[in-house]
Amino acid sequence: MFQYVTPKHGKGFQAQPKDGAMIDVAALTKLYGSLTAVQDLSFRVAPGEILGLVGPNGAGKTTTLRSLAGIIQPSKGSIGIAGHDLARDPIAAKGVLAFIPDEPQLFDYLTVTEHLQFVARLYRRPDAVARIGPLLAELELTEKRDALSTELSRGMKQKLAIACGLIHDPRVLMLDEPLTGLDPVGIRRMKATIAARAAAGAAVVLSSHLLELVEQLCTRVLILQAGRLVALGSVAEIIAERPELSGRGLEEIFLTLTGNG
Amino acid sequence: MRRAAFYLLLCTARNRARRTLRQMRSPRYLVALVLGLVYLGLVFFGQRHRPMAQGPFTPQAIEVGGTFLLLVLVAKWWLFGAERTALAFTPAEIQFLFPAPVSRAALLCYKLARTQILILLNVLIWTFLLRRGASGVLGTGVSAISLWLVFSTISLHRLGVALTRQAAVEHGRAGLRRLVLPLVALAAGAGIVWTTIAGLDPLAFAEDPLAVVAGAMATPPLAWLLWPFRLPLLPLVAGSVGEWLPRAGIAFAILAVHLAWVLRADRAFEEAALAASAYRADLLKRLRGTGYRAPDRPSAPRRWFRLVPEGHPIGAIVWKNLTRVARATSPGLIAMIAAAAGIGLAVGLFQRAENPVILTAVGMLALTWGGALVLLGPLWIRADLRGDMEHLSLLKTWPVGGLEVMTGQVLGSAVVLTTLQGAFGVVALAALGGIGAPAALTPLLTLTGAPLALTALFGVNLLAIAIQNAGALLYPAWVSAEIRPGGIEAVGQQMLTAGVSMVLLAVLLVGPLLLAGGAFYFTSGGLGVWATFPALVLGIAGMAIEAWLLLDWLGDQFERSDPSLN
Repeated sequence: MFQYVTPKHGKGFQAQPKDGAMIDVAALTKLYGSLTAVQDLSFRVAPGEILGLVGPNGAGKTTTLRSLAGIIQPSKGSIGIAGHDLARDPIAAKGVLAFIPDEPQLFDYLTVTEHLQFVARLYRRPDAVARIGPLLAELELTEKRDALSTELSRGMKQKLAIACGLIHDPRVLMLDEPLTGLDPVGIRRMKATIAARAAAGAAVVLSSHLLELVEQLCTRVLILQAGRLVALGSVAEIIAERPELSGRGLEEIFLTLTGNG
Repeated sequence: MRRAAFYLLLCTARNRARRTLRQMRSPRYLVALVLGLVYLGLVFFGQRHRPMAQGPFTPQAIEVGGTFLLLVLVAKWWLFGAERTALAFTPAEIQFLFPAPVSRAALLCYKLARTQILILLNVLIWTFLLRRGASGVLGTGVSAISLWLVFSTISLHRLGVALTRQAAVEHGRAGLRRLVLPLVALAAGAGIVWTTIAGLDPLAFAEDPLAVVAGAMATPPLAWLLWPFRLPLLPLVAGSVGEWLPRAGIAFAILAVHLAWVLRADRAFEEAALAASAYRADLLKRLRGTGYRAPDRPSAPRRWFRLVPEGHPIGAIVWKNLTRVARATSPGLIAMIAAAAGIGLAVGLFQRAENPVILTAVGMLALTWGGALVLLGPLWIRADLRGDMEHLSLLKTWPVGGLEVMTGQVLGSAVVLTTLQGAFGVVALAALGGIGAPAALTPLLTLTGAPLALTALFGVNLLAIAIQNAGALLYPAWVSAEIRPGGIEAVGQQMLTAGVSMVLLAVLLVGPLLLAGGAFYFTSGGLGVWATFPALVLGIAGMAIEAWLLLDWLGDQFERSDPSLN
């Protein structure tokens, strides 16, 4: 039969964090034939925490994020999202998360408002329709509410993709290069939005090559290299584990740990 | 340029072949390839052992059908513009070739060389389908050359029309004058065709339409009008090699004239190619999934359907796909088709006593289009997963089960397809009913049976669309991801795809047909023609069960799919 999970009426899917972790990744491994994209990766993210996911090109960041979002299935290991096992209860898990990719995925034939109405219906959040106006205002999209996505600039498309991710009030937020295409004002607003969501109790995973952004926003950092975890913790925790990195910024730490320093 | 172009074509072909071979490492692709080859073999050998007269492609049918098809195509290109993809280059070709120190003629030659790949592939397919080489006096090679002449001439003519029309637009009033002569010739041609149709003997036409049309074609002035369109086809229907040689010579001369015409293209070429490439990119997006062509001048989009905030997500997915179809369809085109059908019906009904041919033609045309939609509609209407392949990652993040996603996707196309078929059915019933055929369809039976028949048609469409979506999901690498110059020379490939899909659909329909046939057999004694009703109900039930099982399996496949491997 159809898996019609009935969330609490109009309030969406429920988050039930397990042992205080909104994201619980255990021994995540993803293989593509003989290629190991991610190997034995384990970490947890608590509500209100912003985890920065960094690594060189091909390190496995996007594979990790896509596995967390339920787009691809891990070869081994488990992923818990807000207390729901992503493999066993994908609908409830996906119901509380939002994944915002680096390249906005929009439907050319829907307007800005229709995108948000569509997402609200998919996530069974009729109450979210009332939030469309304020969200559009927050992201400076009000004037474009009746425009088709094809009529938007790259930055506006990115804002709309972000709005679609936020409309159902996710408890877990995953962002892949969220500042791509945004102007300086948009970047500032985006940073504020991410911080506000974390302050409201959402667990955030942010993947970016902009180490300044990661250093500025994230409470902890996870450094990946060739699919393996190289370091995990706040900058202070990483330095405490490796005293030779003392006095260095995140950029230098990253370059040293990934063998480019 | 010649060496560079050759290098580009060679590397592209080699790398594409390598990629295809790599795909064969997947057992799923390998099995599909083997099955495809078996199917091709069956088509080839099946045709080979069948006497010529039994096949649909008799020389007379090829000559009559082909001539009229060419006439219609050429008229369409001159009146409404040739398919713009005929001039299209890929974005990479534009980036590398257009700013390069390459002459316009060299660019055109490169374009023609690329088109030849598609033409040669379809020559191969049509050589099999027409079975000329296997049993006729003409050998396979001679048949292939004849087909190549036809397809190449068509392709060049389309390119020439596209360039001429673009040049006319670029050169303003002076350029538009160049179009006067072809348009006057078309108007005169339309008059001759109309006069000839009106003069046909209805009784003889009903008995043997092909012979009547062939006779009319041989009588002036229609014979003079169609003569240029028959010439490229004549080598294909030659009865001997001696007959073929002079005909082929003339066809080669026509091809050479076309080539000279196209190569003398003026400055319009670059502009036309860029416009066509932009159109191609847009069409590609449509095929790959984004579906909608942004209007040149943004205006508030039409709101055909409203999405209510509460309800099952399947409804939202269907709404999304219907909105896409509604916004991607030109209201002007729909109005034009509806007006043409309405006028044809009105004129036919008014003159049915004196000339029933008009009503018959309208009815047969509607039936043909309805039938074509049953066969090819599932390939053409792509308001489903095939249109969302680019968004597969996004779809997988939705908190919606695989069965729901696939049901929503398949329903969209099935609804659109059934609506179109229903519309053609209504026109066909009105036209053929106007001349008293078919006699068995009493008004009561028609009114009561139509909803049930439409439901059955919807069931067939649901299964056919589900098969297409299964293809997209299981073989994403084979989903049409490239726009090639289309047209009649590409129809062979479409026929093969449609053929494989039809075989699968036929297999799925065996069960429901047995159920329906059994019900009709056991109840027709008592119910007469009304036994159709229990038969249809049982058939629909059988299709519903199969659709459910198929969609459940597709949902499972969707959940297992890995977009990063596509």
